[in-house]
Amino acid sequence: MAAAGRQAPLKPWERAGSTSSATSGPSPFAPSSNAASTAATVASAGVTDTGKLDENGVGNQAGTVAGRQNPPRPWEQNSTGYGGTVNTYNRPSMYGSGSTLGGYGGSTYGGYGSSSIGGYGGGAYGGSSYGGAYGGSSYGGMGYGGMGSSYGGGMYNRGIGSTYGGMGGYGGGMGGYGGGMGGYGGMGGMGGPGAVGPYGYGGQGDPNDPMGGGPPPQPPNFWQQMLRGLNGFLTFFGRLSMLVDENTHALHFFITALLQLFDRAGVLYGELARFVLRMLGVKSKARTKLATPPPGLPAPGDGPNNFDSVWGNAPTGGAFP
Amino acid sequence: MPMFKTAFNGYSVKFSPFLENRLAVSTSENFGIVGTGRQHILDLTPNGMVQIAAFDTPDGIYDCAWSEDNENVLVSASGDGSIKVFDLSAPPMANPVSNRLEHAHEVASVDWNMVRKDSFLSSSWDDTIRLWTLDAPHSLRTFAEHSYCVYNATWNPRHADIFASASGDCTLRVWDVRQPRSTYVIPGHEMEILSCDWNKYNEFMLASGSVDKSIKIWDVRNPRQELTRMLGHTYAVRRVKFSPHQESLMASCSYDMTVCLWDFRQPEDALLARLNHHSEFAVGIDMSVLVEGLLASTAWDESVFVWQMGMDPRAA
Repeated sequence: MAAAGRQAPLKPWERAGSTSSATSGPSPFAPSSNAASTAATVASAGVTDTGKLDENGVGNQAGTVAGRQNPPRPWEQNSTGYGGTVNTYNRPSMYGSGSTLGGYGGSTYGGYGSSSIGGYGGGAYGGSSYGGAYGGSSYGGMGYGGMGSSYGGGMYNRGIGSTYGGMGGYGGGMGGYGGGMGGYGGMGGMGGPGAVGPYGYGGQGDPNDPMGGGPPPQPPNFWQQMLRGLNGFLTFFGRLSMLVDENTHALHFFITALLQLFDRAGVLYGELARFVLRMLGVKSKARTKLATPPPGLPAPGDGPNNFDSVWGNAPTGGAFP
Repeated sequence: MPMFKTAFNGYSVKFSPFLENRLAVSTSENFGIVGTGRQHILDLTPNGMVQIAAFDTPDGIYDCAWSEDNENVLVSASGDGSIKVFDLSAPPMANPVSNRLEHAHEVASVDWNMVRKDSFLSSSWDDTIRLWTLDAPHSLRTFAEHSYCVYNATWNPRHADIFASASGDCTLRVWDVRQPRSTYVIPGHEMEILSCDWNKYNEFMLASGSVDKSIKIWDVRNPRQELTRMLGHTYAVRRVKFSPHQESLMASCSYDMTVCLWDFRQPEDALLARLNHHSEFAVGIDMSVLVEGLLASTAWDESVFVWQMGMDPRAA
């Protein structure tokens, strides 16, 4: 990195006499340390970090001192519902004790997941209503249950559940946690690809080294691609629900956009169906009849004075004037 | 005053502490929900805002902070949990010059120490705050007391070792990097706290902006009761900022798409101005340290505005 070259200009409040009179009285803060660097300050203070980090490096403080319980996060599984008690042992633990589908089913979100995203297996894609999507939860939980159910019962259920746990580490990737997926049961086969570490966390050099280091990684195989896709999917809903967490207004926008999307999809579907039927020789009725022009206005193709030739010779000219 | 259109949705804007005409803008594709990010560096010129550099990142960028020690360096908070260090003096291909991946979830904010100038903080959705220097490849400390996402962490502008954090667990915390635990816990709001900032002329005064639509001013020595509460936003307050030049002047932006200017010394009439130049959630605001009254804002409408206080941001 290039040398700084110069000092930043003095801040307005660093000039003499800029302290407010409101700051009078004893300061609760210890005076700034004299050490030249923050590293030396921290080292000389001899402090060790308190607060518990779980195995994903996530802070793991239970409860809150404020007036209400924390809502579950998008990546948290199997909470007992919005506003309810957050089972702290279900925090992003990839081996999560909450990784069974039964847990989802029992939670408020299970219903949501299985009604909308669980559509893969549950057959609820079409059946999912916005009511369900809305009411199910504005917080997280989305789709986790659904993902579980999406691949039907048995091993995939649990497998995906615990896979999510693995991805719950996000940065952690599948690498080091592959064993976890396998270990959870049912997905032993995935432990292998997981260990490759598609995010480079599985022992492929220093993840903080932007220049890489070491040989280029193997191209992802099918499982990795699928899991990565799932990861993106879950990240998407995670962030979406965080957004909703921050402001429920956004949910309205999102649902409106979704409705518009589906509306357009419906129009598209109608057009496609009409086209296919036409190809099969089935004549469908025109959706709208051409209105008869009111007297006095020329009908299409009705003589030289109508609007058909309003663009003049542009088409034959090959270019707009 | 000039306006700049970004390709993605704006998340944060910061004036350079070295150059009065330079600012950094963090943006994320698809509203930061999914997709890539771009860190813009813009210069104010007589012909409007001109982009002098842009760095693409694999995930959205939620915040950025200029180095106080090197005019070419800035750090960005990425949605993939990493912190990217960019150096404008390095060749484009060499950027980011460093990539710090320790947070387990999205990094929500970064802030550079204005007093000691060699360290910066990052706060993350993984409930932790980390302390970094550019010299050390790994974080110096991790502060893990919050029980929900930490949306903002900001250094005290008058004290080299003190900082505050705002969290979704509805608390503000005040920390000393030399202490093992937080110095103060302020159960500030009934709902998530999205932002906090220190008064530049009073080292004990802290402001917080929350999902409960209010801005509160605190004397950290009295955590039980706020000094004042300011109402005026109609949705969550996304960012609050004290003026570097006037003790009682503040700016805020909100999910109600407005930018508001406040004088917290006038409890009855605190709202000085409400600016509705953005057409989507206003999420980034900054006040220039070098030019008094110069403000910048960005929003999800993919625009960046820079204007002089008292003028209409949209005025050409």
